[in-house]
Amino acid sequence: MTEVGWTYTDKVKEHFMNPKNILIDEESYQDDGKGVAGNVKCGDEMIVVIKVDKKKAIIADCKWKTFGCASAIASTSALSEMVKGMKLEDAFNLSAKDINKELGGLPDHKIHCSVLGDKALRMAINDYYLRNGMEDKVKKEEERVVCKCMNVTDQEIEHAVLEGARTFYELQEITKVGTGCGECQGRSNTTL
Amino acid sequence: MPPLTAQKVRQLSYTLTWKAIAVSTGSACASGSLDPSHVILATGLPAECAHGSIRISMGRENTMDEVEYMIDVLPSVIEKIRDMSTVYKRRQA
Repeated sequence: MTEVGWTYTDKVKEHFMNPKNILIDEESYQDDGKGVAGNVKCGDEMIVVIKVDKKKAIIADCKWKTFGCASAIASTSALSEMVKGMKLEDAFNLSAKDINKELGGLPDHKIHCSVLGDKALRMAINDYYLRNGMEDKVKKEEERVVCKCMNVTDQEIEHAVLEGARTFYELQEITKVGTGCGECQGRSNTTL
Repeated sequence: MPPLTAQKVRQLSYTLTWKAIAVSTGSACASGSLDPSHVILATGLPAECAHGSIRISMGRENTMDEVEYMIDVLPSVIEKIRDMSTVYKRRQA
């Protein structure tokens, strides 16, 4: 039985069925930086850890754990492969869009599943900078995250409003804001 | 079936689909919904259990062979998914 809109690409299937770089040895893994994004209450949580080649400032190793759906697993698995050997600053600039592209696309209502991995990675990179006395390199997320479940920022909401969203429902359609725990509805509405 | 607390089960149901077993993450009337089961939440279990529960039911056309097959396949699938979970070991600790 195939439902329209539920089709996973071969790449998504491969990364989900044979995920790469799972953080099995969480207790003993000596990471140089660690990031945790999302929370289980909303249904998705990701841990991303990195080892850094300090001389070259590149990511030498990346491992992860994810509590989430098939798309979330595939996204983090793909991300962990993409960033190995990548310069820290390039890795920092990776977006959910890049992950989505790498996977050959996710079903429409699953795209939000790819947004937490890149966030956890940025947290891990910042964590590395902090641990190594490079506070000056830490980049703050310039936008403010309004919806923590779906990682929707105030800028994205503003953008959606600019594009014509007039109700909270329309905002949800465009940005997925408040489709997790719903706690952020009040904060989102202030932009409308 | 008690909640698995292993991993969000949309994943599990997806893996099982791969093994030619069809299961659900919620009741039939809620299929297609990505929300955790409100019934499991109402029993007082935490969200990760609701996200990690699975519904298995049988119909008159199911055979004992299919039941045996399910019992054979399910443990390894669960184990694999638990390895990836941020929650499972934490809850065990």
